[in-house]
Amino acid sequence: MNPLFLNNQVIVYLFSEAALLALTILLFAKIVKFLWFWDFRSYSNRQLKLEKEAYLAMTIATLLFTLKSVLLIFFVHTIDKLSLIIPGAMCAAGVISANSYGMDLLFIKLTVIFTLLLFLIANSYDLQAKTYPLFRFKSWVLIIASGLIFIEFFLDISYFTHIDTSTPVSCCSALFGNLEGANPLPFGLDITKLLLLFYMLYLGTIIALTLETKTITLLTLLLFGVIAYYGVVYFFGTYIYELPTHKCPFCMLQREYYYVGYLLWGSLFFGLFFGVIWVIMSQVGYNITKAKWASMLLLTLFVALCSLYVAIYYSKNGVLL
Amino acid sequence: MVVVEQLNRWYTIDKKRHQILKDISFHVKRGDFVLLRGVSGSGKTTLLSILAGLEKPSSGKVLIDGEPIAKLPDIHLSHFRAKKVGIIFQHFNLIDSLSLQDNVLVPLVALKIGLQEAKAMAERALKSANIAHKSEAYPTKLSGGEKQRGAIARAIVADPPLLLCDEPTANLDRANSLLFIDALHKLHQEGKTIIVATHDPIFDAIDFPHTIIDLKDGQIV
Amino acid sequence: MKQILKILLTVILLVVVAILLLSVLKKDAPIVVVKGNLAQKPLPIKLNKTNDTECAMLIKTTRNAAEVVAPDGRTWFFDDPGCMVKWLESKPFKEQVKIWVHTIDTNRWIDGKKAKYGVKDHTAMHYGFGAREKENNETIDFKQMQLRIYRGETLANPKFRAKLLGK
Repeated sequence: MNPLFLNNQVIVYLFSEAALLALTILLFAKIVKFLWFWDFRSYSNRQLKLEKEAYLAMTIATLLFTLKSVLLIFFVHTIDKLSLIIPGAMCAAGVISANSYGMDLLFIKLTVIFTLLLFLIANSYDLQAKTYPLFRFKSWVLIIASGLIFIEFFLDISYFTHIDTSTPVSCCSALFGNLEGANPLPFGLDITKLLLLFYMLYLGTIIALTLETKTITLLTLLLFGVIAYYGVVYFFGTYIYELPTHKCPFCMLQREYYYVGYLLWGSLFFGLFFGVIWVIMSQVGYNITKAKWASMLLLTLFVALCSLYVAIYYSKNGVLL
Repeated sequence: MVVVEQLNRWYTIDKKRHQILKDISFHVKRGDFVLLRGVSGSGKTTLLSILAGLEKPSSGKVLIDGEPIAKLPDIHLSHFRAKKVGIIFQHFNLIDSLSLQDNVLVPLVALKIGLQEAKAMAERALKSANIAHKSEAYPTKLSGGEKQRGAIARAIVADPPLLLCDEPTANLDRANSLLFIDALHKLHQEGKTIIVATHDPIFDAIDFPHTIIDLKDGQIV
Repeated sequence: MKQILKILLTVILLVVVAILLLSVLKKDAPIVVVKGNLAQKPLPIKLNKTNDTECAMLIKTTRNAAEVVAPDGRTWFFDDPGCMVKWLESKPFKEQVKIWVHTIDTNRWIDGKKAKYGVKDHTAMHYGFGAREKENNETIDFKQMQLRIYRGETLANPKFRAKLLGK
């Protein structure tokens, strides 16, 4: 028996995930039924019943979104706590990389939250009309979300069963530190070019959103997501830690850094989410200016926060790292 | 104004189906006065609840002013009820902890009307129901007839085109019942469509044009 | 205003594409040695971008890979345990190094001096010594493996291979 399964937080986490999985299975069955039988023009008993059940499905989806968001934070927190138990780990980085499932799991968790958020927004617009014009669209979004939740649960189990508490894992500096010689950045970039891209793409995203050009917005958003991740890990993070060699996306989630990582990553991810949601929703005919503004606001907050750490360090010490 | 086609309502208890309404179809034109007659248990109240959007049919079509009310998403339904339908219940259903004026203001909440305007609307409704002098009183201090007039004021405050009354005279004496019928007549003359579910014989004597729908065991006879 | 924004966006996109193209087209020199690994931990190998110091080949897989960490934190990478032993033979610090080998049976990094080695395995440079965590009746230990390589008793030696495989 893996001793991790005796850890309180892991137990709470896995049981919550299992409960949500049960709800997801229920939801999935309902949605399949909707997609199969839904005919809004009909006044039959079956259709009227489906319309009632649609409310149950919406409630489950809303609950899933809320709990999944809370559980993501709880998961990250658990992983962070586990770094005290697992030899070699000093923060969540080592624990999440203890096996190959960790990073996939984290990524899929974010995707789940994104699809559920997309559903919630599509749903609210669907209910504002009287004829459920987005019913099929939002149902498919939920089908995708439930598929992702099934995979997520499989990864949850695989991840926790494959952490070996007897073998030391690597700490963040071994995983993310480029020590010397190796270039960890994508596309063969160096730090100067990375930063140039970071600000360029931020500006590009804001302009593309202002001009409401869908394709370019999507392109800049996705590219900015990738560049921003590396930007934080390999440049801005070092200013948060005030240590040029400390390169890690996870340590900033700890108390020593005032949990700023939650704000930083949260503003980035939700900024990206709302932007992509704006693109998708305008594709189906709804120009949601609120999502557009939320995206711009959150991304601006993210960029400002990153830049502020550098600026403060420079003003205090008169040099850069 | 009201279109009902092939309306069915049943409950399933212990896997046994209890049919309350069976294949009901009728049309009510704008400005009609309809008496929905039948003994207790014939399905009058259920039919009225479905017309009011308080209950959903098991199958069948119900259009009020062209809107399929059973199929409206909830956020539209409450708005629809507040704007299009006024309901007068057998037991008046006034809220005891609110003054009569506040009771009359309640339906306007769903319409998001400003307080000043809402108060003016409430005063107008109370006046036309002949109960304006009691607007500060609480329902427990009112007589049956006064409560009924308060209920009328609440039903018409948003000026809905359709009024539904469920056994409105069941708790009134003869004099008050006749006063109530007079009030309904006045509203009818103002152009409101009115549907009254009742088994009170006092309605047999009304002397203005009206349609009668007889219900028996959930079916129109 | 809108026109200006459009032009600005076009310029930004062109610059972004230019930066990306420049970076992608620029060839990275392969990694040969990494400095600063004072914890003497096994480092993740950047596949296809890291050179085996002995045979100068790019390392394409972690299967049978090996690493040597000097006491000062310098780390070298190998695609075959045989390469690692050969390279280490002439080094003055060869007794003080930490050796990591990637095992065939448990698929992880373990201490190379404690590992067991098969003699007939397929390894990148055909020496034939694949690292294992668990012993079996064909495996030999690190010292024996070292001796065999010094003597040339490996699968890379045709005479010895014929003798060992009976062909």
